[in-house]
Amino acid sequence: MTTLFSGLEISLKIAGKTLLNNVSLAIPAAQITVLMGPNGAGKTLLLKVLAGMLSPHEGRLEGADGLPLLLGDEKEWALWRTWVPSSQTLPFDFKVIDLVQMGRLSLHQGFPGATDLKASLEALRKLGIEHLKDRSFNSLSRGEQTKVDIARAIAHTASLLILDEPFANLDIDSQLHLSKVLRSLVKEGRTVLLSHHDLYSIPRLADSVAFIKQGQLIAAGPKADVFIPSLIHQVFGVQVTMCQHPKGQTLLVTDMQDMME
Amino acid sequence: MNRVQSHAGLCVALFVLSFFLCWSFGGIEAYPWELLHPSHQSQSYILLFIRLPRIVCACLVGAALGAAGVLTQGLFRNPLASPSLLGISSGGVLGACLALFLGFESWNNWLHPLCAFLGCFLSLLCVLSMSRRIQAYATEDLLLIGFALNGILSAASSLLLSIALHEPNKSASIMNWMLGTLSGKTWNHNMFAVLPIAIALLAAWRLAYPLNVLALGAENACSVGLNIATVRRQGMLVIALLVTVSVTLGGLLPFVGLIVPHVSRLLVGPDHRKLLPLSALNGATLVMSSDLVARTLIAPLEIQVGALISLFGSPFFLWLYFQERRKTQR
Repeated sequence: MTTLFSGLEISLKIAGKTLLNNVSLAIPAAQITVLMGPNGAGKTLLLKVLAGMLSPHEGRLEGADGLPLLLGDEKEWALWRTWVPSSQTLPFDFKVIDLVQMGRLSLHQGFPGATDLKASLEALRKLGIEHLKDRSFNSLSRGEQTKVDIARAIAHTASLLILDEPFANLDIDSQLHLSKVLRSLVKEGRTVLLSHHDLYSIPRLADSVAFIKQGQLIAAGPKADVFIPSLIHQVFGVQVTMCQHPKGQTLLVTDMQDMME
Repeated sequence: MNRVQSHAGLCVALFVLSFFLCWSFGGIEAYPWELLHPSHQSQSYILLFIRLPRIVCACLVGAALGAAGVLTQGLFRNPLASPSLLGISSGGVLGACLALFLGFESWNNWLHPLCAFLGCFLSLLCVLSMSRRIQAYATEDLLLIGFALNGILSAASSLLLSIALHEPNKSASIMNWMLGTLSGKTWNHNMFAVLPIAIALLAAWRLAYPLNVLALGAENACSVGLNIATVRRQGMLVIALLVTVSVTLGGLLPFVGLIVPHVSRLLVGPDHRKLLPLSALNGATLVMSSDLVARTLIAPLEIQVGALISLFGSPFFLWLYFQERRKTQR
């Protein structure tokens, strides 16, 4: 397993409160790493620090070679990674295709050209929303808006994709489709780091898992080593059992006994 | 021809029509075609040295305010924002009022616009110094700074007016400036304004696509590689330059920078690359046409064009607002 980059000894304080405490996390290259934890654990903050959107109080980012990750301005960061935050309504109602092309700002000088249009249409096609290209963004459903935000990231050529809860607004069919798209990107050699809440989808989605709770890293590593009932119980306080589906997949079953009593 | 092109064509036609109407009508009968066979020298003089410079001045002021409105709304990601929110217009008006109050006009004709110019730039410096750590400030903070500054400067202008009330000439002049007027503008005024406005419009054009990206929100825009602090600083400087020149020429015309971008956006959509030139054109048409009404409605008396624009602009804007609301509720 090759490491793409690492966040080392990251601590973050906001208004005197420690929200991330000495977190060290290595992100494996060409894999899907899922960051999990209860609400308010610090997942989004950690993603922002790893995406260079937020400067930590302490700690540093290191590249694969063990040297500090020296990226200067926003453009250099944008060439290194794409970041998809939670979706939001826009003040001006741009067309979907225009918004997706904006994701390639760091790749072109001035205005987007034919290459940007082609890459943007391809990203929309991958996500199965090419038919929405001329629709206005604000007229779309939350789920469709999320897909457009993801398409904007995919349209870029950056080797690292960081997504903050990309499945949150998607129906089950769209979730499965997005999982496939992310897997295809990994096969192309890109690295995906995302935060997620749904424990049940981890067996089919993740290669590596990192658990975070109250701003501290509980465990991180390959899914087989980390995504185990004892750690899940430690982080989320729920009892789970791993089962084997007749077709071979691993399934997660929540023990409902505590709740039934 | 698509929808955007046909709307843009309509705006160009409206501009040309307004231009010829404005050139043809005024307090005294004189028509542009009479220049081909001039019968009275006074008519040529009125057409070329009184009416035409005033129309060109209206176009420059309107174009500057239209473009400044687009930039302000784009920069603050708010379709209801206006350049006067930054307090720069009020700074210019205060400078002009101060010049009138102290009687600088009697020393030199250029001192008056120069004071307006200084007022704009001092208020800009105030905004810039307060938002020096611009990266740490949210857009809302900047709006609040502008709002507070605007309030202080407007109050100072009103104070000057109230002190000057016992001198009818001074108070009338201050009132003119506060309400906005294009009366008495000459080719000299236009020569002073055309270069800074051209430079500012070119700079605004360079900011058009970054402003599109900024519409994604600060976090999204930053993540795709936009240097937000630079765009904000450049945007503010361009807005300041445009508003400075327009205030120096025509006084306070607060509604143009608010309503023109809004209407233009309904016609060509939110893309700033189309919106900026169209808003400049529509701003010119609006100020030029309003000035025609202002100088002909109760001729030979004139209405202050700023007051007139506010009078019909406010209900029009409210109508548009409710149309938008109805559309989103469907």
